[in-house]
Amino acid sequence: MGTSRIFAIIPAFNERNKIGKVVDDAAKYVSRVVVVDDGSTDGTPERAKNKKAVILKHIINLGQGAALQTGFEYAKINKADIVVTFDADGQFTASEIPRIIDPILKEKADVVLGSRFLGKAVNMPAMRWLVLRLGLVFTRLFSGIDLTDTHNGFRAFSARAVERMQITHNRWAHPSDVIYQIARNKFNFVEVPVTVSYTSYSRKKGQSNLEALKIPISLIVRALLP
Amino acid sequence: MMIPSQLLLTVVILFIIARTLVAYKKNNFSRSFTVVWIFFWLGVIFFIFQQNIVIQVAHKLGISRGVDLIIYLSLIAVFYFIYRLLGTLYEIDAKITKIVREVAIKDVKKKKA
Repeated sequence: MGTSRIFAIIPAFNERNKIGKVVDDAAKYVSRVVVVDDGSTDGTPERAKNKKAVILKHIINLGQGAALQTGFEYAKINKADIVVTFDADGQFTASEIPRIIDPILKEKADVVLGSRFLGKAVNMPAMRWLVLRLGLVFTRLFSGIDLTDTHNGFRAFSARAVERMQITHNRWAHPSDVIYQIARNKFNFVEVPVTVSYTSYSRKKGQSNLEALKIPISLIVRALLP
Repeated sequence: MMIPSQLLLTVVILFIIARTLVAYKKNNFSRSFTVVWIFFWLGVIFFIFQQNIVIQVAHKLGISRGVDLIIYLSLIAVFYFIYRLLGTLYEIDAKITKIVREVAIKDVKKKKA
């Protein structure tokens, strides 16, 4: 892939203070930054627009999973070769984007999953470590896929994978949904080490441990619905 | 002779039937739903006055009391309705998501044009 169209999809909900820098950093490594504003009320889309990102605006808040799927739909229409998903709260390191897309460029994988446990988890609270480990066990049981980090939003998808991705869990259960779809579609996947930095800001903005515990319930209920 | 609980339940059920008929007149319920719903409540009245039948059925199923049979059936019905309700909620959620997504993508296309 000589001149690949690489899109960074950044779901954002009330990230006014961080979105500008996150867009600037990501833009150095991709051909287009797409911010999916998930019904922010603090002026996030205006801040991102100033940075020349493409803004997709959800008129109401749907959740990060829904925002990612909106980004995927946009990437399909605009014929992206590679899609990188990236969080808006500044937890990820944009300079690691080349590393996460490398296996797709070399056609070694359809999906590349970032792993903080292969890489670095800076200032990760002990409780978060425990919740993520429990998530691994649950995902392994349900998907049959053995990973070191399931709930990491730093990922890369080939055009073939984006074409088939259909995230239906709008909220916090969507990372598990992504893993199940990798299993169902038999995508080639690989994990690469990434850095996730926990700050007081990211801890305040991110998923609470209580919300994380609701994920298995949400997944089981959805699986049983008609 | 009617006992107080039978009288109370009958009044409540007659109220439900009356409300059903009003809803039917306002076209809120279809004719078939109205018929099924009214027959269901008339059936409940029948069992309120013929409790021996419930008791006999309960005994045949190995349940000692008629009222226990009613409670078990009610619980099954409630769980089923919750299940259906969750399914409907999920469908509505999926539809709203689709609309919001299409608006988001169309807006960008419009700005480009």
